[in-house]
Amino acid sequence: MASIFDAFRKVPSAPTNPHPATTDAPSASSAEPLKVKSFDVADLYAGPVAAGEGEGAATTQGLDEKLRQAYFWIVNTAIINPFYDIEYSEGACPSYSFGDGKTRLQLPSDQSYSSFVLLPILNLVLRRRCLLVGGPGRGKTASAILMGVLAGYSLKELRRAIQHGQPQMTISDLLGNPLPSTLVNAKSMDEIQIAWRSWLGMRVKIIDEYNRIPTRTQSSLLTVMADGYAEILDHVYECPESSWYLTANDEAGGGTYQVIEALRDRIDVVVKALHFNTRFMGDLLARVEAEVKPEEIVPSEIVFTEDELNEAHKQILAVEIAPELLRRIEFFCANFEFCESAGDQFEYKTKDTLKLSGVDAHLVLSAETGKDKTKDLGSQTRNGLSVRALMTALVFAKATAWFRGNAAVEFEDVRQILPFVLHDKLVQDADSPFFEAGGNSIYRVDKIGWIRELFDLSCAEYDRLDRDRDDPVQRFREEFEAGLDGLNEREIRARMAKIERVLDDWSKTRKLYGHVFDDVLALKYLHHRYTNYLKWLQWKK
Amino acid sequence: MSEAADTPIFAAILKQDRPRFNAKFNAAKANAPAIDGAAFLAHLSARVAPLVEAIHERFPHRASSAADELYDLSLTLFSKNILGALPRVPPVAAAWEELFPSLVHAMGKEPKRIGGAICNALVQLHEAPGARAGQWMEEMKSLASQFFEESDDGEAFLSAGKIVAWRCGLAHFRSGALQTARELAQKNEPLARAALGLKGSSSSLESVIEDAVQNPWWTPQESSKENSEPYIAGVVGAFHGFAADKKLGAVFVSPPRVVFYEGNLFAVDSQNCWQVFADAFGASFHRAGPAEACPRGDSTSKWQLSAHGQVFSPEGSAQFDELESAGSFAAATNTLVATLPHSHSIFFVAL
Repeated sequence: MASIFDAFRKVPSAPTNPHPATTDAPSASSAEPLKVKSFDVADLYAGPVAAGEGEGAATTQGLDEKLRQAYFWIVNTAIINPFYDIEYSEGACPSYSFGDGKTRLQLPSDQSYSSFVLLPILNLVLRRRCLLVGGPGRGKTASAILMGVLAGYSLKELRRAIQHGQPQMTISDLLGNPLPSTLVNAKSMDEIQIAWRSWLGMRVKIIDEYNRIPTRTQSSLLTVMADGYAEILDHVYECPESSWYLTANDEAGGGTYQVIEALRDRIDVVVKALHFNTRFMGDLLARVEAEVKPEEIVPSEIVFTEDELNEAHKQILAVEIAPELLRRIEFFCANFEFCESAGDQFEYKTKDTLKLSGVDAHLVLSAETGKDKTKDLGSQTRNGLSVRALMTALVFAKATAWFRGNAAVEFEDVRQILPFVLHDKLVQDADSPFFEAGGNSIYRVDKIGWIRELFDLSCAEYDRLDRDRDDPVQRFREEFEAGLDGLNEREIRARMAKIERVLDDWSKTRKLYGHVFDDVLALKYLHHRYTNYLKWLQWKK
Repeated sequence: MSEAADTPIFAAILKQDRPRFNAKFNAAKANAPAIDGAAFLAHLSARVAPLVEAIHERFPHRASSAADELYDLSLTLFSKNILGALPRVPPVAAAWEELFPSLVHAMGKEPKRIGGAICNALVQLHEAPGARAGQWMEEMKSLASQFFEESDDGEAFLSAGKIVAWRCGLAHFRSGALQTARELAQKNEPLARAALGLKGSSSSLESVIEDAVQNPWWTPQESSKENSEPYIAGVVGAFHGFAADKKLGAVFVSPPRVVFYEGNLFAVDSQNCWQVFADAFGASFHRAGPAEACPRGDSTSKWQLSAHGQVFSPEGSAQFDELESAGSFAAATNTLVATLPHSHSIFFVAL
């Protein structure tokens, strides 16, 4: 990381993620093709001085490029973070095995990223909730403050607005107080005026050590985080959409106070503060000697306006997920909810039913079902994925693709980002036989690695089942979505018969794994839609 | 430093936020150790401080932010040795001393953007072979005093700058500059005229611009109807070995040939193919690919060049002895381009 102490003012030059130039069709000799140039006169004002918005700025720079510049400024300058744990490679890349434990090191061959910087930055544009965890003094709060500065807030505003979790924190400390004069004189609740805390109106909200907030106050925080409003004495303050940064020393939700589950569930992405690599002590020393505080000298070129963040958010939502990739994600997510012994009614055979029943989950989950528990991915978790978790996963995958300058999500985007999004969402069943199998015990500790392994295993199974070509549910869905208008009774009955034949075949030949469970229910859904339509046709007659 | 008493506002701003300004300087110097602290201080004193004072006189509430932005801009310029004890782009220093003070309103509103853009333009003009940064500075100073003494419309100033830059030799910006002229004429016709160099012309501006669009040899002084005889409008190009002297077009390793392809002019030597932009104000060369990528010419112009140096078509002819035994020629609507077998030069004949 020779360039760590590059000029603090220097914004990395665009393009920050150069893609191979699309060339004209090569000549017969495959030589370099002709490039006919046309020039934009606005480029007169582009040059060594980045002049900000408008003329003089990189006129063709998109917001994704600006975000990448922000990312690289942070990793090269602001935070000493020489890690690339979100790895992308093109083709083969060197791989090494260390020690008796065969610890693997891979040298990625494409632009790769540090999760500690990338995820908070994506969270900024997605306006979600990011939990930064790690021991004290590892830059969690500093990282959150940097995000606030990137969003255009001054340091003064941010420092005043950070909510510091502490055991005596009350709801009033968090949200505000009724003005005493109005409280005394009011004859009804309407007449009371509330002095709301200014942080409620900010678009970047920082809660430091949220696991030190008393449980009662956590509930008020939950309302703000989950529902976007604060309420005191029947008065409501509607908060703007915000990017949240919470810090904690304990990722398991422990701390001075146990974090209430509903609040933990609202966290969208968990980021670990990685350790300090001592081989970069010199950079640290240089920083100390120069008395530089990066958050005080963030270049204006990488500060985003509210409009830019809104526009970036819109662009991210427009990033495509190809149907083939979406099916792999569906297949992966389908593995976890099913629990055969949780209910008699087919739809109730879920881990959620089990949880709500209060029965000891271990007793039920460890019951024999005839399935190979080392292969059954569902056996590795105690829960399935909520709708909220699924939506978050999709949105962060889009954001990752957008950040990398792509118009569509790639497979590796999903593979790399899923573990961070599902880190707190998928609860591991550490007693699963999977973790006893050779080399898998490490996944009891490394959740990120575990979820990535889960995804890899799921994709391997997807390929084994040849789901890209052999997916009857997909075929039936496409047929259904083409519309029912004009179909007669005979055709409807034929479609229903096809569904019934598949179900009959599966009931005889397939073990009921999670993905089969969802497929069966999907077929039931389609069958019933046809049943309703048939009844309507008959009524119409 | 000019005495703090002369520039009290700037001095107060620096004093109030001294640790932050010092931290910025230290950070910049850590990356660019060659930054001369004394030169930087002298620049602050002689150029930045008076500008901040002038901004404060007109817009007191903007002085602090302007000082901040001008400080950052200065650090960037010093980091890249554009300014400094031995600056690599001397016109930029001249801009701070002579141009920025004439733009107090615009600089007061957006000092970093306007100042940064002007500096970038001067870097390009200074480094482009054949371009005339000095002329650009003089013309922009004149425009500033004519139109921007009381105006903060930095956008209009920069638009005018594009037009002037084209006329100062950045030929590849011609079509964009003329489009800018059209747009600027809608908002401020006198400024557009001045930027085009039209002095006292009474012709409709739209028709003047249209003439310029159609004819690369148009100049503000010339009536397009007067000179109907072909004439040699310019000679550019030289041996690659003269590139260090910034000789215009010193890119060829061997005598080039020329072709027009899809309306663009290409000159190819034994190694490379260059796209050439040329007009009455200058020329510029841009590498388009290896020699083998050079396209076949597709121009359908009727103008020809004989082996004896006669340029002719059904519409007329003219004799140019210097073009006898030309190695290649290519013609488009208003231009015939020719090369000689033993020369690295390209001859432009205005038709």
